[in-house]
Amino acid sequence: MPSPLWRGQPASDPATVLVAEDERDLAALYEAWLAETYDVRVAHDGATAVGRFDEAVDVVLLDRRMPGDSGDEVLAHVREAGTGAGVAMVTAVEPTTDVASMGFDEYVVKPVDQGELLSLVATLLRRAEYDDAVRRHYRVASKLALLERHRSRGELADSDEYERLRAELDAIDGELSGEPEPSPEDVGAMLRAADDEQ
Amino acid sequence: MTDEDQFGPGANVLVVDRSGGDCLPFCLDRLDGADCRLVVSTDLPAGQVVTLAGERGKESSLRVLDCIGDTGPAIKVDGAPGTTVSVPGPGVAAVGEAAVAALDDAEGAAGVCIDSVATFVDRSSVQQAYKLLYVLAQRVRRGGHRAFYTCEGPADARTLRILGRALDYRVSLDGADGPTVRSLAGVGDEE
Repeated sequence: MPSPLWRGQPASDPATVLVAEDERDLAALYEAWLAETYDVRVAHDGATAVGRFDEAVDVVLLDRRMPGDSGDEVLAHVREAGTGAGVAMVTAVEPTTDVASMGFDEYVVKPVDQGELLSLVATLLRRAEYDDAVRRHYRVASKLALLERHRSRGELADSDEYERLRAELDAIDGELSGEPEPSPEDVGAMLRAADDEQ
Repeated sequence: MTDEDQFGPGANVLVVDRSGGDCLPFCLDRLDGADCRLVVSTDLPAGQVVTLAGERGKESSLRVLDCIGDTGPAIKVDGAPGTTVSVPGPGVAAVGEAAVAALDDAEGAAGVCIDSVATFVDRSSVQQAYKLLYVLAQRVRRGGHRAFYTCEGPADARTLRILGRALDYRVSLDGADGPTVRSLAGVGDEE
């Protein structure tokens, strides 16, 4: 049974995956593998990838070597946009020390098969959803702290808004407690993601 | 039963000392009795943590994550058998990844000290520190561990309230009459 946070349900609200791959046959293969479950957008060069990326995109699969803007430049654009999309480099380029400063979530060296690609997207979506829920938890906690700082206990006890926020916090806790615990790698990726304050 | 006896399995405790540096000894004293101990140190070198911890809870193993950021790879620590030191780096992501992995590796109920939350806020943001605390606190609850999160020196009251929302109790060490403990689940807790 899909978890409440899971957005990979094709009938209701499928997640959107952007495939940026200059080898057209390979891009078509990835699209065919993913299209049964997700909305898929395809770009064959970096500039098109930037143009097809927006806040609706949940996952980006990026080749590093593409005509025009490289995958690294597309990655920088995605991170600058701050949408929280998960990004995996899917590339023939073996990783070197330069990857340490890059903001991707996963790095996969080609070739990849269908199972690996689907698993990769599922991992990135799970992380993104968990991260989104914790961010919502933070935002509600922040509002509660603001009210508590400026209102008396009596005022808070009579406040419908305060009660609503507390209920919202509990609801998010409920969502997250039903989820599998994030792996150490998930936690690292979550904490590397840009946050709302910066 | 004292207030501190509330810190049963699964408890996450924010330990605040605005005036001084008593948080770490306070926390280490309360890790005694755990099956194993984990200390994440952002400010104090691992050697000093091992020395402090060695004076307490000698029966249980000790793992220190040295996250001060200027420690070389060849770290030498004279600790008792069962003491290990890792250097994950100073970044919040690296620390979070290493701390969660250490909790997953814990044999039995761990006593955990995160020293200090204030440094994580300084190095990143309140939101990133909150995310780290939230994830760790969930791990602690599910694993039946006990964790203490220190915050020393001047701290913004709203920041403390926000961070407290991820945890269960708050201990203040500032009072003249000894530590004061309160649950963080109540309505409009007084500062």
